[in-house]
Amino acid sequence: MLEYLLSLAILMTIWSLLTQSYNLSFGLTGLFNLGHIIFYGMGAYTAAILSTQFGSPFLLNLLLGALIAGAFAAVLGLLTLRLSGHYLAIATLGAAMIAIVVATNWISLTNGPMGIRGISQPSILGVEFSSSWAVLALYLVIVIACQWVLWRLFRSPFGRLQRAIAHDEIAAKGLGKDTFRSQVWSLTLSAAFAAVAGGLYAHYRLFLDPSIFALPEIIFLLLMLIVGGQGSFSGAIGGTVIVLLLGEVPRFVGFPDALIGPARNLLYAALLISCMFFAPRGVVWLFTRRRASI
Amino acid sequence: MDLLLQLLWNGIVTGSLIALVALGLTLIYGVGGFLQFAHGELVAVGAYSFMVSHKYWGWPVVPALLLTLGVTLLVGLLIERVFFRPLRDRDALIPLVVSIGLSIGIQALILIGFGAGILTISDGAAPNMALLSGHLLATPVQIIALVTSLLLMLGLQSFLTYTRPGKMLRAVSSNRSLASMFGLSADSAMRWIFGIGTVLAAVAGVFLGYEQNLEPTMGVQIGIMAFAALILGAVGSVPGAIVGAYIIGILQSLLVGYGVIPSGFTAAIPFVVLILMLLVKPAGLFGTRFTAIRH
Repeated sequence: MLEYLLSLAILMTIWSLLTQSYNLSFGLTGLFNLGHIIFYGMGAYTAAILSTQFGSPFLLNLLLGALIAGAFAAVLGLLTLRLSGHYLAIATLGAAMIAIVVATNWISLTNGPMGIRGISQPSILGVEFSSSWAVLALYLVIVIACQWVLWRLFRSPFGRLQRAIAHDEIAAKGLGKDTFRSQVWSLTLSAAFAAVAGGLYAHYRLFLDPSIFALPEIIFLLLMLIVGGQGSFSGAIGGTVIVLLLGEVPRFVGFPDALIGPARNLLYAALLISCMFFAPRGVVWLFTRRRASI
Repeated sequence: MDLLLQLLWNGIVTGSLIALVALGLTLIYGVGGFLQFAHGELVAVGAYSFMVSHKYWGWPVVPALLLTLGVTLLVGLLIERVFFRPLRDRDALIPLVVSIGLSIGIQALILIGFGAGILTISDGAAPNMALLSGHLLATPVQIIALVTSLLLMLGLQSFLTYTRPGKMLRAVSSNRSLASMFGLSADSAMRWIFGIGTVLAAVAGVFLGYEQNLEPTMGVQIGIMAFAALILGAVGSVPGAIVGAYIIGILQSLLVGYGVIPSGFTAAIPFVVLILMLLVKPAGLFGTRFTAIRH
């Protein structure tokens, strides 16, 4: 039981960073990007491959994952961010679907659907973090540091410009701001943090397969952000906790094991739709009755 | 030569089924102004209802087909009434997110009802018929699928051009507020569109179920191909959706058949086409307005 609670806490820590990174591009800048899971998966695969093929150290894996995903996001952004609303959504969703096909079929790199096993446990300067308590402590430190950087970003002139772009892009342009460039930067930074979360996930789960890119994961992430309220810093963390806890409900109401996955997806789908109907600005906003803002 | 002919034939049959799905999507976009991501799931609903009535209950083809159309139509109209009508005047991204949720939800229901395994409608491979003095192999189902799809496309085009409800749909699509001043209600237009789209999707589902297999993700797979066809043609255009669908079907068949692309990567082809098209000419082959690009 304790082990289960610890694993839930570790997942919450990882996903809170992923949701917050999504909050930067989707929530703050208002980019309707449905492919954010690609960056998470890239970070996870980078860490898994580096760790199993070259035995490279944990922190270096996280850093390289962030660099690779950031560079990829910059290219993707330069190519797709001129598209508007639903075209951007469909193009980025398409990119996520390509990612799952590539991860499944580029066997020499990713070992395909069999997945990568034997990823090393996190260690820093020879100190192994093997117990769940140690991993949780380490991950909390890393994630809080990243969250702090993101919080500074949200509060910086850069963050204010992003919010202005989400609110009224033409007005921001009228003030002489290069909105396209800021959007590409927003996507790049948000991808880099998502990749760190992916690296943390790979070094915790010690196993990785292409399902990390699957459609339910995309919904899951979207739901966490929407429950919390787009653009709200605390909301992203709250949304992650609420959604992950709700996702554990089917486990305790006596569903057969084979049905837990579909039951959870059904629950998430229902939640996502209800949020869109009744609380498009976030459930947190419903209670504070304030426009979601930090 | 025979290979080329065979690949073209397979591509045309697949393209026809994609076109049936893409037509529904393009009509919904034209009238409702949003992308309905869950449209592909109606294909799956059609395929599974046909399998249950025809294979499990042993109904003959015609009653099973009627039941399938009825069930799918009911689901399609319910989805419109419950999920999309209340959201009609909201930002177009909200119905898109709702439809993604619906897609996952319907897939989960299919998983709960039928399991993740691959199912078939017909046991054993259908006999191939040799056409064109043996140069081409085709199954009877393929031929019926092609003829039916072509008839449905023709029927839809004449319905939109010549009949009263068809003209109403075109009026609402081109200017909703002006149409409402003439007493044409957007609600009934959306009902028509969802009804037509759902019937087309159910027919595609029955043929897909016969030709290939049934699996919970079949709706997303064909739905994504239809999306690619839609963007390739021009979102909201009927001829655009049809041409786009045939291009996707034939391209996929040729690229895989000639081994240009390993068969595992087949599923990526529509996305690559979709993204390339969005980058090169986002308005689509038949589009004139560059609505896809922000100002």
